[in-house]
Amino acid sequence: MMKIKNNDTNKTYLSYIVVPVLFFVLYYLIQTKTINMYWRNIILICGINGVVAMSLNLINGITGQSCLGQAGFMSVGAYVSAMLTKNVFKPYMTDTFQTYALFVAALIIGGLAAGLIGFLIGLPSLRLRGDYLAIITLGFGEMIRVMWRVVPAAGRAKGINSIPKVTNFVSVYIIVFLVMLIFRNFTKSSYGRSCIAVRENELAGETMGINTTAAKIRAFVFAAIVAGIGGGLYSHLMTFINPDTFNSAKSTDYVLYLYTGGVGSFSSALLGAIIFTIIPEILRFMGEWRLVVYPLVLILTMIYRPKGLFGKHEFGFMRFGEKENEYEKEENAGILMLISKAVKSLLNGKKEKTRKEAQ
Amino acid sequence: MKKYMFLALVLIMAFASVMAVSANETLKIGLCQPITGSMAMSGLYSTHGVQLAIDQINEAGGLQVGDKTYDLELLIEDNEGKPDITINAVSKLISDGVVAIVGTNSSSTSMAGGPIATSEKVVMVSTTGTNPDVTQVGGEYMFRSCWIDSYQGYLAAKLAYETLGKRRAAILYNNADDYSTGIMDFFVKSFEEMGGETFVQAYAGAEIKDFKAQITAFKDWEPDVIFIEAQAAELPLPTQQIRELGMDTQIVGAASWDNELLTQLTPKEDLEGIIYVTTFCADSDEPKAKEFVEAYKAKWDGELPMNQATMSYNAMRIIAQALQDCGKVDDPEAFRDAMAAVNMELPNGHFEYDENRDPQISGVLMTFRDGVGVYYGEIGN
Repeated sequence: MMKIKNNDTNKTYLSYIVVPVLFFVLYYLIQTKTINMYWRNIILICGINGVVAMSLNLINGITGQSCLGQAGFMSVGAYVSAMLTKNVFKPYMTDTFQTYALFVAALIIGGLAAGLIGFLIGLPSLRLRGDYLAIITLGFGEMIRVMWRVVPAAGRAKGINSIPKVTNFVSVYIIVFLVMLIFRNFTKSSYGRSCIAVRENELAGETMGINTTAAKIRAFVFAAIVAGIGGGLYSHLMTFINPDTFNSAKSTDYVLYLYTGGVGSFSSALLGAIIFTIIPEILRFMGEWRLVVYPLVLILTMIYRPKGLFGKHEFGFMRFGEKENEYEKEENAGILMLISKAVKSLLNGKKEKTRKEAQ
Repeated sequence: MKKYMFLALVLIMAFASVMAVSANETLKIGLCQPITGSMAMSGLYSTHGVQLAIDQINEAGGLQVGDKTYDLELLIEDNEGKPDITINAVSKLISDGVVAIVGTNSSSTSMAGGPIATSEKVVMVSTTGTNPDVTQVGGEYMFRSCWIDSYQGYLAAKLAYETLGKRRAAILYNNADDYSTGIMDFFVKSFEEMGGETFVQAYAGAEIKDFKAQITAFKDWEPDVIFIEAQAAELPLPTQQIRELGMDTQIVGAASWDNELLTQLTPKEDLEGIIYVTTFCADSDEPKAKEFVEAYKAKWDGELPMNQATMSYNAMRIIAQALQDCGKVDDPEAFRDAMAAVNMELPNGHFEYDENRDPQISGVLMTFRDGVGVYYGEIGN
């Protein structure tokens, strides 16, 4: 009995409660229109950007490769699923159940198509690393974009329009949560650990009998599938996509979300995507100046928080509820840690001051 | 610190008292255009056009809708010329309570914003979203103040084939741009139907700076007319390079050429004699047009109203007219029907929508003389 109780105190269940509570609070606010259409759209885009940023974290953060073509994977998912729902599934989308069943099917097929492309890009990554790999992925991403521009079925430069608008808050929230769970379990599995081994020391990993080639390809394919699902959500939210939506600037955005949030952690990638999707919208009151202030925020973030705003912290449920020990907290050193430290030192300072005054 | 607080308070009070002077209620009109980005010039001209219309209405004592008079207030949101940002900008305007939105300037962004406007029952008027799909995709609340690409492409082909008597047309277009691609398709189709031959060369994106390969191909094919149409910022370089490589073939274009940017970025001698078809010519003799040009020049330091500014001015005028016609501001369906039924005179002529919410606008031919776009002739159906 005692033992179980001990175990309980060593675990934190806060996030297990926060996830459903946050869902119902947001859902309620959206249903009652307290959150207007504008902010609802932004919340959805935050979630979608979060999904893609997390998929990028699998390549950049967990496997230690560098990928600059995430928008390319995303576009494959977006186009394939949009073409499916628009041209094939639309007549069958009669009731709510069928609509969402077919939507999920389209998302999965789009994700798998993106995974296929991810496999193709994963192949050269066997020989290349670092900057060279980044260039290859950048090139691949651009190639995919230019490909959509010449495929007549994809509408060429005009893109695809009148895509059924089926992405909603519930679907985005559930997919974000599922993606996080899947990534959590993947990272903790032997497959995920072999990816981490590749990141830490490829040679040592190979010596220990890990198939580093397979680990890298697995990471690329898996990340591409998830990015493709994100793309599918995106196209069914926007109802309109064209090739230039997925240009290299978009890929750069995801790298930005990941690194400002904190590379190596899925929670940080999600939070980074949320914060840096919202900031340009909050700055809208500045008009043209927001495009000056936004990069300034980024520069300051990178100077003062090179580990990213949230460091390597994960949400509680991403750690299976295990508490972080002091060492991990210090090592991960997110912005929350910094704030709590500052508050502590402020309080201590006051205490010392009062002590001195007392003396 | 206190001093500044006080100052701020005084300013706010002063501002509030100024606001309170006008007894009219205000009616918000949204403008969604690229204020930043590669199409920022269009956004600027559009702001000028809409602002002029709003100021004219307000100075005349406000807009009479039913038995109330309203002052118009313009809310501007930047869409950076990107479809995804347009969705945010349009949603924001609608959340801010605008009755109608003017914008956007391009077809792709209009197609992104239109469905939202329709789902929220807010009238949106694209200024130069010329793709035929804009009003189809946008839904029943999506209108436009410009013509459509199929008609524009046809007029440009007619200009080359009939007015100029050319038979071999070389076409340069941007395959990354839906506007350029669309109008190329319509030009080629119309020109070939008329009996001409065509030769198409593409370039891949607005960032391309070198067109020598395409121009050399043109040289070998020996066209007697070259048709170039893309966003205005992309036109100066190919024009210069065509002349640099020693081709003096007649160049024709469409409405994008009607942009001051071109006359600033291209040497005068390269522009000389290029003929383009557009919607409005500033040296028109029509009284309505003259009045508009005078007002515009007076307001914006002698700047001449070009296609974008005129279309934006028109969009605002159409919205105002429709509001007056329907007589209430809180009935979106009646407002939409009034928009569709609008029947009025605008600076560039009579204005009416067809059943697809596309207007019938007559074209006018313009040419460059000494680096300035001047009237060349009329072009009919």
